[in-house]
Amino acid sequence: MDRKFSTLVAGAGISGVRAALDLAELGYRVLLIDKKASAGGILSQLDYQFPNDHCGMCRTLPMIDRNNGAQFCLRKGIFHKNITFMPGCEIETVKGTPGNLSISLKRSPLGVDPEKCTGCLSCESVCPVTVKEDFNGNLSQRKAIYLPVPHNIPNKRVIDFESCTKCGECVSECPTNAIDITKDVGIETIDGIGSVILATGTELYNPDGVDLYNTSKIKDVVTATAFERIMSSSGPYKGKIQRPSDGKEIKKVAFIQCVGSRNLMIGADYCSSVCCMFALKEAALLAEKTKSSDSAIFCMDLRTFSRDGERYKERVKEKGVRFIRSRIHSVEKDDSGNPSISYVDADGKQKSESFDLVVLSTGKSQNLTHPSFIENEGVFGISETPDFKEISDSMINSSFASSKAIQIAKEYDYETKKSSTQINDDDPKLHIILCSCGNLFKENVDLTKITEDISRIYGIGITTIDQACSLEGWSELKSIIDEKGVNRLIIGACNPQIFSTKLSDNSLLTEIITLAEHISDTESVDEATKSILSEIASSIGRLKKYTPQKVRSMNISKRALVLGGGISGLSSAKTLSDSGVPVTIVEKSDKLGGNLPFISDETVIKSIKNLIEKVSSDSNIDILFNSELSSHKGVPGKFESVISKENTELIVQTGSIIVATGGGKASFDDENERVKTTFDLSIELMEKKVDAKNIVMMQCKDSRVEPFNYCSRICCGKALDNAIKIKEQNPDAKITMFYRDIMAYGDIEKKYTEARRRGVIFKRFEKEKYPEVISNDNGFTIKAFDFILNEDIEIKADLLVYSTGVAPQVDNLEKTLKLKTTVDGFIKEVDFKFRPVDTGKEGIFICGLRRNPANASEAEKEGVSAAQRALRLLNSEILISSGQVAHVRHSICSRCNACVTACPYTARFVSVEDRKVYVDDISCQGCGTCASVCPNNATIIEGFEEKGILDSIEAALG
Amino acid sequence: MENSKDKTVKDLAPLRDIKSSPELCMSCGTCSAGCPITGQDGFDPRKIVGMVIEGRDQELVESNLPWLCTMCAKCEHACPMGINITGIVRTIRGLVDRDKVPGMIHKGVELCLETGNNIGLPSEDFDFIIEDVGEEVAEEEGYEEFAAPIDKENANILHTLHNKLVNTQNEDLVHWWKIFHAADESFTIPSENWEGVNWGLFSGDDESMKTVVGRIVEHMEKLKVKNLMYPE
Repeated sequence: MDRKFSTLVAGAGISGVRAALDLAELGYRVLLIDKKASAGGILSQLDYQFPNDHCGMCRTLPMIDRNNGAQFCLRKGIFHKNITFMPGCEIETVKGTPGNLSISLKRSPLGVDPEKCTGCLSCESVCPVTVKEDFNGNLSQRKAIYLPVPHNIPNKRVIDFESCTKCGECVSECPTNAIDITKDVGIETIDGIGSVILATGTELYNPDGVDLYNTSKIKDVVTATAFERIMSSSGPYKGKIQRPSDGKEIKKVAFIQCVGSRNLMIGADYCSSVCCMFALKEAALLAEKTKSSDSAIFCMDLRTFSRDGERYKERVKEKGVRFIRSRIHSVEKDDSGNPSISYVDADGKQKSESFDLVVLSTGKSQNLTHPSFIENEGVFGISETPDFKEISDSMINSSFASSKAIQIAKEYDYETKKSSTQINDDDPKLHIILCSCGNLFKENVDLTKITEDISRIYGIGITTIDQACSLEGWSELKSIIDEKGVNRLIIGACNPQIFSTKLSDNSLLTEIITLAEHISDTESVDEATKSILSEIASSIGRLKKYTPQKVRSMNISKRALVLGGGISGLSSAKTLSDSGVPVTIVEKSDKLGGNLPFISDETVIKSIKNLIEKVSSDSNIDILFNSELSSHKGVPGKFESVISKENTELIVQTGSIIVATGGGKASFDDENERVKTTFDLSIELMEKKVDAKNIVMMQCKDSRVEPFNYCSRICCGKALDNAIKIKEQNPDAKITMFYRDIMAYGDIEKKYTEARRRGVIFKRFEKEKYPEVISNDNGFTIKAFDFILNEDIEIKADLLVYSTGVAPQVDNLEKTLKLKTTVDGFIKEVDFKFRPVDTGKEGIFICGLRRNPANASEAEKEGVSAAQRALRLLNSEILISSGQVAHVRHSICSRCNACVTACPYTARFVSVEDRKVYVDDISCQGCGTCASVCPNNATIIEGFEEKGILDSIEAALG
Repeated sequence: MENSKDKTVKDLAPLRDIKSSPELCMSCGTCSAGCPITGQDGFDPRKIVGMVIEGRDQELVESNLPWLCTMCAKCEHACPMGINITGIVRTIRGLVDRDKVPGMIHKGVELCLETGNNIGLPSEDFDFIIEDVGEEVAEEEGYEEFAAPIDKENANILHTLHNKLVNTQNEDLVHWWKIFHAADESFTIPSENWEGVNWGLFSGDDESMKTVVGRIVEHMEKLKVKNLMYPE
């Protein structure tokens, strides 16, 4: 039986890619499928992400042993030697048991053989069918044979059989016989799969056909995804920010929130969680790109519940974007043809305003469910229902799912394939292979001149191959290498990525030249030829002088240190121990469980208690109570930590460290027994009835204002739980909740609906005007302004409940471990979206409340996710640094430490012993920042030595 | 007014299919944004729902707010919580003392209950007008055989009337009847209780509305008519 793939990951969006990489980095082979013709999911359409408004998707790629990834940009596709990607596939059925699943796949034909397609475009030019291009939000057109994602590499065409008329024009036009339109949908069964991860994501709500939004009649009403495409340089207008109807530059946009969400009439009793941040980001980008400042976001609540969301929102406001608290009724057209909307302003006055463009912030589509095979043993979903999640939440949930898949892969002994890089350091023997790419390069480049010139000037042989990417061409290429005993190779072809994947097992030093660029960037055959000659010369210069990097390896300490025995620490420790890694937990107090005493959900309490029991009885886990980390040194794989425990010190050697020291309730003091915090009330409500008759709940107490300007994320949900419980106990109790934005993200919205249904009254207040509380003998009077009734109100209360938020632990770990923190004192991850549990220091991971406000189950998942990341290191026998790393010429280093501060990967450190600056090979990513800041030229990036680089620059200058 | 549980607007107002009680309102502003008269004399549908939730019925009953609404229902067409806003407004109107109902609508309801039509037209005048208009139709070429059918059994359509068509705009009746005649449609007009306009709908008077509708049902049963038509 074939047991090639330990795991099948269904869905190649960012969640699926994360899960696949988790497994692949441990050496397991993964079959990644997607029902679409390309990978990337929704993110392939988005160029920019909060909070830095860049892409950053590449940060998902392996950081250790990164040569295995053979790529630098994840948006171009996914290339990893342990991942096989099959597009156009969906799971039909799953049979069998974990470790031996039999999966039948429905495989839709793509119509084009990717091995044969050269991307020459002749098929597209003859295709008579034109349809709207959904990739660009239907704002542009494409043919029935097309490129699914324009920036993908390799750029192979596929056929959209739904619109294809099977006329056969493309078949006869294709120069390489790559097209076959006769194939039908087939069923393929794959046996011996260990487990399945379902990462199929969700569909977006389609507003077409809703009479209120008028998308069919007004062209300048688009979805948020379409607007992202309008702003993209690969979009329908090539990055020119213009509107669809008349091409006018877009300056002023209205964003309409909650389109398809928070709407009982369409069965959408949920918040789609991401649309508010999405709109903020788009408004910020527009303001920056067009220097405009009059856009408006029309919303009910502005749900900026992620850690840095509140401050981001304020930055967007400073750019002049208006936030208007009015859900929009409908979009109409004004007399000049602009989309126009009516809304009510803060004073309750109705206004009508015209915009250049209206953007509908569409959430997830309603009524979606997982396929029934999710119930099978060995099938793990990334989320409980098809869901729309913020990227970092997706990453954490993915790693949570992949940790279960890894357990199965381990249990059923799936083969692991680790890297086996051998570097050839024989004398250089160069050869050049140029791919003529069908007729493309023959017609546009003077190949004869190139061959002659290179052999005359450099004495290096050139072979031209017709189609190096085809099976035939590839075997020709390999036989040339063997025949000539080549050890350094230059390949000129249309796309480089495909070769680097194929060549990664080889000990060849390779340079790849993208020929297509030279043709598209120049205007004549002569010019293109000259340009290619110069790049070949430059590559020759580099390859000749290149000193092959000896791969450094080191043995790693197979133990993990988990700082903190709270919820995230416990789940981390458990995951590590289950994978065979011994763990030392360092806990400040004398018991495990962290914030367990403040949790009121019975199911969660039970699961935490269960976790405590398992961890306590695990012989693989040492627990040090009443202890703290006092100092720390070493490199990833070999950290040495000093733990102080009751006046004694002990040293623990670990390969990795997980920071899970948590946090807790923000400090709050009030002697009055009729004043409580939301947290305390939730515990009280577990045991007894609240006898108060008039209860006022006040959200965001000393929260979301300086100096604690972040949303604590969990208070609104808890306050809603409390309100519902009190109403269950006593339906006549009068509850009023004062709020700024109800942060009822995802399915917490259902609680908000339930609370209102039970008669809880909600009153909004503004940041600048916290409701005034006056104490008197009978309780309190709360004075506030009612924005709906447009009047001052006074509400009497005999119980006052404050939501006071959470705060990170004060433990000085950021100094001891040299980690970065946010202004609010949370330890910062290296990338909020794509690497949420990695700190800037390789080998050290962060999870739970110490990183960001999170509820218990979110913290638990973060813990697993952090353990998962640590396992990549701890599961390896040795760590291999990548070829290109920096090192220091100590003889000329002045020890100014500029490089230590500048290194974005914290890979540089000053040795305690000799005060010299060293580079940690494993952490170094070869980015070169250190070299650029070094005043003395004391930094060298291997593979980029001055001599080779200068030679190649000279050659390039021709 | 005392907010006893069985008398408040939020308890009385009818719900839509999703059990859309007014409490579900999240004061999102969709209704106010779409309402054609938001801001007119302080009118704001969201404010009305907000007051209803808090049981401030008496203020609403005493104000002119419920009477400003045109009952166009544009608000509830888009309301994400499906709140029956026009139902709320009608319910408030129904709680207003009848002598405080503005304009002539309650007067009309009273006359209708008493005389069978909103303007209190005596039946001999009605008979005369119908016969007269019928004759006018029959004067035209091709319509010579036309006669206005009154209380005819087994007709296909029961034809109620807007009092305006009887009172001042007879020419509209001429058009309608000519269409019926040309289409060879069998219809009949009730000789009494012929009023087709149910002003109880606007004054929030459910009881009267029921009586007026009941009369029409009675006609249809008695005359064995299958369909009802209200030509305006």
